[in-house]
Amino acid sequence: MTATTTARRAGTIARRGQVPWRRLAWVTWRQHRGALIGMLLVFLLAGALLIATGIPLHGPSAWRVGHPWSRYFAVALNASVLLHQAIPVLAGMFLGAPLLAREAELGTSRLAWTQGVGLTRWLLAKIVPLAVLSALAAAGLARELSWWLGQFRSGYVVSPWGYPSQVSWGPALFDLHPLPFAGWVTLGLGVFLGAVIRRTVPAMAATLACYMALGYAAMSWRTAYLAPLRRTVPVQFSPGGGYGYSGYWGSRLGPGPDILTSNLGWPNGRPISSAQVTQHSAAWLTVNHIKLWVTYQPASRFSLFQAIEFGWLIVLAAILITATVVLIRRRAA
Amino acid sequence: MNVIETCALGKRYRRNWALRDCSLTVPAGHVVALVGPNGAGKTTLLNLAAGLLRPTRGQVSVLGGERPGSAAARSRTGFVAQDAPLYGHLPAGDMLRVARNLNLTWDEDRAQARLAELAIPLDRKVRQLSGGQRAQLALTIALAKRPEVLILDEPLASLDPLARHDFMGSLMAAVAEDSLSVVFSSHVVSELERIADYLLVLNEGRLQLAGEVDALLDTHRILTGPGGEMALNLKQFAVVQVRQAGAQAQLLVRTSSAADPAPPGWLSSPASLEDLVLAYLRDPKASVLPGPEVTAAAGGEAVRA
Repeated sequence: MTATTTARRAGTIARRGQVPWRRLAWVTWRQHRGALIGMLLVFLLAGALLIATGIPLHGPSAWRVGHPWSRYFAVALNASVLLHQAIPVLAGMFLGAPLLAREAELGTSRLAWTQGVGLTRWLLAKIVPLAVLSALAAAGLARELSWWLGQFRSGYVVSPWGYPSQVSWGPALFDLHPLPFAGWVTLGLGVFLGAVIRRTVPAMAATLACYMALGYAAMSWRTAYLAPLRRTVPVQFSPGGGYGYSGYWGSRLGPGPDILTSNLGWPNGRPISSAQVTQHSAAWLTVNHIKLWVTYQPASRFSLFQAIEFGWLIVLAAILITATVVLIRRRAA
Repeated sequence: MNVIETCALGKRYRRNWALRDCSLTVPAGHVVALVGPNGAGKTTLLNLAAGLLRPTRGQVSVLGGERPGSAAARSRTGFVAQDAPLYGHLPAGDMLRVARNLNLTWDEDRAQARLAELAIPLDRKVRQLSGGQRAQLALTIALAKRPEVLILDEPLASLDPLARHDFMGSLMAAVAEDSLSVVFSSHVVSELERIADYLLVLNEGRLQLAGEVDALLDTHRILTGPGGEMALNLKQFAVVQVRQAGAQAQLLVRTSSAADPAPPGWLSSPASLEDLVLAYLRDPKASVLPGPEVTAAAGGEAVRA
């Protein structure tokens, strides 16, 4: 009896300490390697698609301005952009959402959470490597994307999205630049929803819905990360009733400014209605210094806005992951 | 040392109390059967002891005052949840390796030896194993961390009679080898005597009966005698259950000692554990709660152990 007690005590002492991260990393790899490999294949496929379309884009080819084939290419480009926009959602849905939801659904959380490893350690060993790996893969892909998009920004190649500025600021492409893209491919949202909902398929659906809502919110919000600037552009009124201004203002090359609104107005900024414009002669409009008032985000803010988007996405992911840990710990003892 | 100790423990899910005002101590060195009908709160109690749930009211501690879910409690408690959850998509060998990497203490040799003895193929996926093999694998994982207490939630529920027999055999062998304490829940009342030496009866979220099986059997008798008014006049006994069968009455009574003679005209016979459990379960309101002498006896045992 005494011997047993001593052995027990010795055993108790040996139990001190923490399960090493290396061993937990193996568990994460073994449990999620299927999803992880699948995810990386999607990234590789997207990367291959970019290279395949990017090389003719950069060389002498049919995609140049004026070539009759360029409009077919536009369709392919749009499809490719759509696919890339789906990647963050796919990562959230197939890697993030099932991470905890499946454990809850199959009851295996009751196995995992009663082993020697602590809850927080187990959670972090699962979430952090997967989040970092997918963000790194996303950053790699986004670098390739920016090389690919660069040709459109130059204004030399036909852009299916209109003005060169649209390639930078446009809703379809702003978040496909490296920083925002890596930020969007965070698993925090999926993991958190999986922990809350505890059922895989509803958690995946909720992740999709939340990504879309968040994407829409970001699209409307990103033009206001900083208060837009306002300036006037001189216009020439023609006797026929129309008006024009000198070229596409700002730089034709490079990102260009993002124009939010443009209205004709009085010199003091008060807008003038189109009815009034048509009532008056071109001479009257010129004499009264009617100008084009433009609110815009200058081209110089592009990098800053990219960083702002990355920043809030990373902060959001950190908050969601922290909330997940707190939630799981609160539910258990 | 008490392997589980609760004080006014309660757990509420939304508006329903799954467990209410439950105070109990389970001394170490026993194989404890936690018995009760479906929905009695057995799983809730065991999940609270395993640290998977947080009590709504009261306290629960394990292994002599450890908080369930704390690092010390987790590494010293082996837990097999209801339906023995395992990662079904992993081969059995990888499942074992996952569990090994989630624990600080791990007896790999013994785990491997056990699985070899049970002829569980390590390369087969867990979900392709039979129910009995899965239960054995879960037990192997729980035992490999060399726990001081093993908590099993309905380990027998999904097993066929043969697998059930084998499982209990492995469990008893482990108990003999390691002198570990076991707490298992079951709604199967038969065969309990063969396995458990301590009994907890939980009914409608309340503790109804607690004590060593021998002591409980010694203090409960079945009295058979004249029915009618007579049955109600047996004031020296706490009557748990009365069954009228024509002119005869059969009473399950709790006595203060085994030596209590039957009143004149009554025939006294020993009660089986099954009789006893069923009698308590059948009538949760009218039943006699465990008397102080039962608890005192259990406490005395604990001190001596």
